[in-house]
Amino acid sequence: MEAVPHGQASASSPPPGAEQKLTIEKFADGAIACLRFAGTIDESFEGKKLGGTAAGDTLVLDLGGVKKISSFGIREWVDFVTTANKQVRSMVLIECSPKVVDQLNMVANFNGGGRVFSFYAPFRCDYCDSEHRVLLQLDKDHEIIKSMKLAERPCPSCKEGMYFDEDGATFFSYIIGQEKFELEPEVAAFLASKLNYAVSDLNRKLRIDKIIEGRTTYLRLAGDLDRTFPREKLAEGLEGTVIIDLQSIGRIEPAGAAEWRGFVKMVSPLVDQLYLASAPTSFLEKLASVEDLGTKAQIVTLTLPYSCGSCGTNSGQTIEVAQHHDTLKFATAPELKCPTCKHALQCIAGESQMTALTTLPRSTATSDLVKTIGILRERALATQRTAKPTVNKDGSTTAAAPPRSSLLVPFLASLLAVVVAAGGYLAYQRMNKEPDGPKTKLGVITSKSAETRPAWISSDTQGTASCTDTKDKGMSCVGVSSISARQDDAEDEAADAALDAIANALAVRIANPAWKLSVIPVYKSARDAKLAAFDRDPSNTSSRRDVREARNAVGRMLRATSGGAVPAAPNARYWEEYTGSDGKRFLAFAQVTIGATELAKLVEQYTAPQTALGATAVSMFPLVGWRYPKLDHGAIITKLGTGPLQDLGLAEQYVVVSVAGRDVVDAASFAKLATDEHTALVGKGGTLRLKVQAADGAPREFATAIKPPEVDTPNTGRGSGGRNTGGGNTGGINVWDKFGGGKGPGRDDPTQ
Amino acid sequence: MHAVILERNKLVGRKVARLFMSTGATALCLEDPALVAHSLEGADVLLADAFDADLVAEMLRARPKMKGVLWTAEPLRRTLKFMIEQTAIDHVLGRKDFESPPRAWETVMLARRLGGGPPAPFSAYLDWGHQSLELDVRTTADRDTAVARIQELIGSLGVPKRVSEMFAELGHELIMNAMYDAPADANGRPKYAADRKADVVLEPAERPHVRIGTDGSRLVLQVRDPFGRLERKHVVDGLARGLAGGEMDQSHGGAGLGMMVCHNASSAMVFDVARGRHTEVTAMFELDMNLREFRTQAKSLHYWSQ
Repeated sequence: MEAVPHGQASASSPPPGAEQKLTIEKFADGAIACLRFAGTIDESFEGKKLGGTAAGDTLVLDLGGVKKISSFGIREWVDFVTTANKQVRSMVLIECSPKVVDQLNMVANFNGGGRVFSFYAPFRCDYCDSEHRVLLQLDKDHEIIKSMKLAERPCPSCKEGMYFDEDGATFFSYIIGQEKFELEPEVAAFLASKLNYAVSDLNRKLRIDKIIEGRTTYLRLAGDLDRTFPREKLAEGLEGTVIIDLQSIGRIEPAGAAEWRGFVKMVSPLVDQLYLASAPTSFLEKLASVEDLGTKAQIVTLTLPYSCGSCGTNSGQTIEVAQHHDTLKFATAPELKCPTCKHALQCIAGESQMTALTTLPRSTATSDLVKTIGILRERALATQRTAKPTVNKDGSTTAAAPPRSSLLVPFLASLLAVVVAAGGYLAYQRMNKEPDGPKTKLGVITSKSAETRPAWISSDTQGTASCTDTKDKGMSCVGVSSISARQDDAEDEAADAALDAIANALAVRIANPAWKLSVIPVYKSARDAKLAAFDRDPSNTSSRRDVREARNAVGRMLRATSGGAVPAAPNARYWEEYTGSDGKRFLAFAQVTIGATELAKLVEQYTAPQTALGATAVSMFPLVGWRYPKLDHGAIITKLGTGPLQDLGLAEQYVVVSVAGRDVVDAASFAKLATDEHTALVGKGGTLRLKVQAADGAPREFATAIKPPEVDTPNTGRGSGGRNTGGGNTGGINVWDKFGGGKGPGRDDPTQ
Repeated sequence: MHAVILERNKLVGRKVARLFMSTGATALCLEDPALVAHSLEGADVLLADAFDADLVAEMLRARPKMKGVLWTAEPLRRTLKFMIEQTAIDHVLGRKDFESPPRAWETVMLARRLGGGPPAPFSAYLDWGHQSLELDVRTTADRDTAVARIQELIGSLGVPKRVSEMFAELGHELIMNAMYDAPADANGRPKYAADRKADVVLEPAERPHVRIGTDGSRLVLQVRDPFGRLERKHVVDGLARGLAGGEMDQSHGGAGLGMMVCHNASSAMVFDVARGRHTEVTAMFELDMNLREFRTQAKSLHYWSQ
């Protein structure tokens, strides 16, 4: 073995640890945890270690982002799932990428005893040369899976037929042996409500568990709070102390909120006290005002989202109001330690959510009551599990025996649950007539932000945007959201769509051929593909998420780089609420206008070239967010001549993110930082390091050693000759054919 | 060299014979298995479809110096059992279907070497005018760079991303084997195999040689280490275990599934081992088929040892 020669970094070599091959995001909510994997699983994955940290009732593994798995990675993975599965009651694999399906088909015990709920099937379109993925779920697509054939479907990009790009018999060989199953309501609610996954709507329906113990009634709500909330049925017979556990409440729709308020009013005269436990932030925002709580209701505990900077876990932490009221009333979250790694947690609740805390009444509940709630929750969950067959670790299903109460106090574990929820829903539907309002394909308009739809809206096609020239030669763009369960969500989406349209209109106005040649290809195909996928199926979670993420990135980047030319908020907004078979949903519109002077300034700003070390660059253009949504600054290389940056391995269309660790905010800063750094290194020697977004994936570092002038520099390379000048080298990489370098030893000359 | 070819499809048989004869060999084509036993006088190699592999194995048992070659249009798993049973069968040629002969270039390459010719150079796997990269792998970080470069090169061809990811995965696998499994000390003890998570810096004499090339129709990845420790059983048993159900063998530090990963990412694999001198693994992928066709394609396997 030998020591690594100092300063002899390979071209484009990422420094150790700079580029993360595998990212694992953790989300936890009570007894359910979700780990989201993305990237490459190889020998660096510490399977057993991670598996050992698994805890709780259900572990969900989201494998949609797994791209590569090495053979040693398989070993680590099997260690992980085997260890983790021993520590949890059930393990579910969701959104498995085709790579993961390959491994499930080939490797014994790759699932570690867990069950696959959903997976992606790869599709290919030969017409437009694009690849797509279609999500299949074991519950609703079981028949299709059994057939082992997937029919052609229209390509999201070009609308021609795309075909299933796998051999059905091979691809489905593992999945086909797995029984059809549905996600437990708790898990489905967690995934749908907290993490916005696509799961069956049925799984989001409200489920209620009820335990009566003496004069105390415990009610546990799980699912979405919508207009189907059975307030009369639920209020029937309530008396004494009532505890309502809101831990698993999902989305709260306006109609659901109205029903809830009615319920609180209805039971207030009947009960001694109404304790609300584990109220999520959405509940605090919408239903925790003094008026909403009335005279009898009080929040005993609430759940705030926290993130651990050390182990990366995102989780909801339960806060006792009585204990922390003095902190909460100043819109401040209590300081907590991570239950996993004991490091300090950071509260990640939004400003509006924190503001809701300031009006919370002080709770009179004792710590004993809080403990009792925990015990009752456990009982409710245990009862729920006995109500349906359980899938054993070996995959067989058995009906578990009901657990014996450890307490002598008798209690009624009523399986009001699904029966009450469904019964209540039906009764509610019969009793209530259809809401008034014009009927559209989205349902009936039941509310809107203005009397009439504003004149600036010319189209209501979901997820689109359009621009018109204004009288002063400026531009006005209107964005339309997709249909959304939340008003604020829809409004944000519309605003992002409008900003994206502004950026696109800017691109159209830019006439500079060099800019067009270098910058547009960076984002165009990614933008076209994502928009086409969304256009085909706006309800598809994956395509919607892609477009939302990209447009949000574009909007963020446009605001950050426009120097105030783009308004911080839309100039006008409008929304409509629709009621249909799926409940309340919202469509929002946003208008963003900029003047002619600002437009000209932006065009100039994004196209002004700067030159350094043989490279010409322009400032980061916002539409690049379609391809690199995580970038928010940088300079795009538009032309590359002979010089240190070319020797370093940079190419046109690469985005330089930082030079020597300093952020490149625009083209001018790129030129200054690169020139200054190079000049300094030529004088004293050292390593020129640039962080560059070169292709999909995380930005990586390009580095080369620059020797000080007084040192004699022998050629330590392999003599590939030609391109290597100065201190730069290619790290022994022979690129003779690709980049046109000269011949050298080791060239595989086919004529020999 | 004299080759005896048993093939019921006479057109296929004639083509294979012609390819063998083009290298200077003599060849006899037979359609009837009953005639084989009487026709092996002076034969150096017996070639047949895997359908007749039992007969080939029987003939080889009786003639220890003779070599066997099989071709197949079926998954490699079915043919592997004959390679395990009969060590004189070192080559399986994949073919498109029962009406098609094996690939011409591969057959000629095989015939030339069976006839005593030298190993095929890297360029022989690709059409003239191809581009290639040579990657110097010295450290663990270099390995990651090399894998990224492999993916980048393939990505630049505009092929589906899954193909570039799959070949990068293959590159990672082969380089890992060359970096961690191959190096041994003077006593033949593995130097780095015990801890694949460790960062290593290889001595100049230990470094593998990595080449990736393409002519637009094929991708070829070749990794050569200077140790020559890969044994036939590692290849054949590893493949058989992996393809039979993916049971892991953790006795050597890895998962024992590397061969399966290689098999699943390539159309043909060529292992060339010069004991104590080098192990060269060449993987080839055909770009003119989609992944669905690739999955059902019969794969080729060659094991050469000196």
